[in-house]
Amino acid sequence: MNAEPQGPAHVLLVVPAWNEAGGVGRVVAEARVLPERPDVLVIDDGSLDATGAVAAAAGARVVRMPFNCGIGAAVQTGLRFGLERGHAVIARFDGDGQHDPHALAALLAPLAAGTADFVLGSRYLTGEGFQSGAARRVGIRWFSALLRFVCGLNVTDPTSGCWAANRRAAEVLAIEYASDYPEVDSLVHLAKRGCRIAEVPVTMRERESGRSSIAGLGTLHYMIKVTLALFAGQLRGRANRGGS
Amino acid sequence: MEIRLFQAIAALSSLLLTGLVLELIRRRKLKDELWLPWLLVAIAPLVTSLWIRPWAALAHWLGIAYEPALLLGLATLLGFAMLLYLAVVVSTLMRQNLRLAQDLALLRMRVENAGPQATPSA
Repeated sequence: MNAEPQGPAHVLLVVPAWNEAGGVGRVVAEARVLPERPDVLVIDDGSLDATGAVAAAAGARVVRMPFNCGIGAAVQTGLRFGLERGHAVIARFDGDGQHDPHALAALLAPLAAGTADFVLGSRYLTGEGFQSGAARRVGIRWFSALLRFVCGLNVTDPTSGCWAANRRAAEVLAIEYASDYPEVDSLVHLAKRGCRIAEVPVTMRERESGRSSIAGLGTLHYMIKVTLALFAGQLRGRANRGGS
Repeated sequence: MEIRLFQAIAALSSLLLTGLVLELIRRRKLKDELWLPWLLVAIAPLVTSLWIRPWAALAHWLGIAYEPALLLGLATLLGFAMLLYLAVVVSTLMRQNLRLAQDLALLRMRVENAGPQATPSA
């Protein structure tokens, strides 16, 4: 895993993983043989299992966080790494195997065409593949409506962790990205800074290992925290405009 | 000036608290940004217990019938202010802690990728 002589690949695929030894190997293996030939960076976010070792054995670079910092801090580490190394595009897929790496081509198309700075993969545009449970869908609709209200953004899957960003959008997120439940909040930051956001259909699979942090009472915590964060982001936007 | 028992107890408590805060400052257990508010909190009961009349007059001027309620209200407000200040300090530390963790993780990867020759010898 030493520095490659031909320089960094066009795309860096960031895979945050916490106790995902059961699924991360397949994600890395599938991603490494994609036609886009992305560099794969697994952020082992303080796992207690062999996540880092499995990812490294599958051929990924592995950044090991010293302790569990939260998914947002893990992704932000990947963004900082990608920006420092000069990758043109930084994409994010989850380490639990839910995101099909073959969706990368669809995510990259609007970036290559220059029509978007940030492309979000949505499981609801076509309704194919794994669809989340009823409670989560209610939450997703709530956040979609809030985003439309707060910053005029029309997205169908605002909690999606499957996305690709060009350097402009990655620089925004490398500076400001919530350490937990960052997805919806990050869309507000991007929209406020004038980044163009597009959505493309992707197919989701059922997670192969681990369990979602958004379940049971966690769902309520997620809803309240993200809703408040949205309005706090709106206040910050106003304060920044007032200060500038 | 006649000093009643409750005033003496309040003043003594205040002196003990002030002594504790000063000792913590001396041992560097309290950082610069934090010792001033705590010193104020420690000294305030001494002042308020020995000079009751100005506080009672202020309470009456504000329309408070039971004078100690003014001090209780101010103490509650001060407590909230201290908690808010500490929450801001903790939030800053959390943000800095995450940044350091990210830097450490990235540097560790670079050192590991560079091989054993990059590791400083003992």
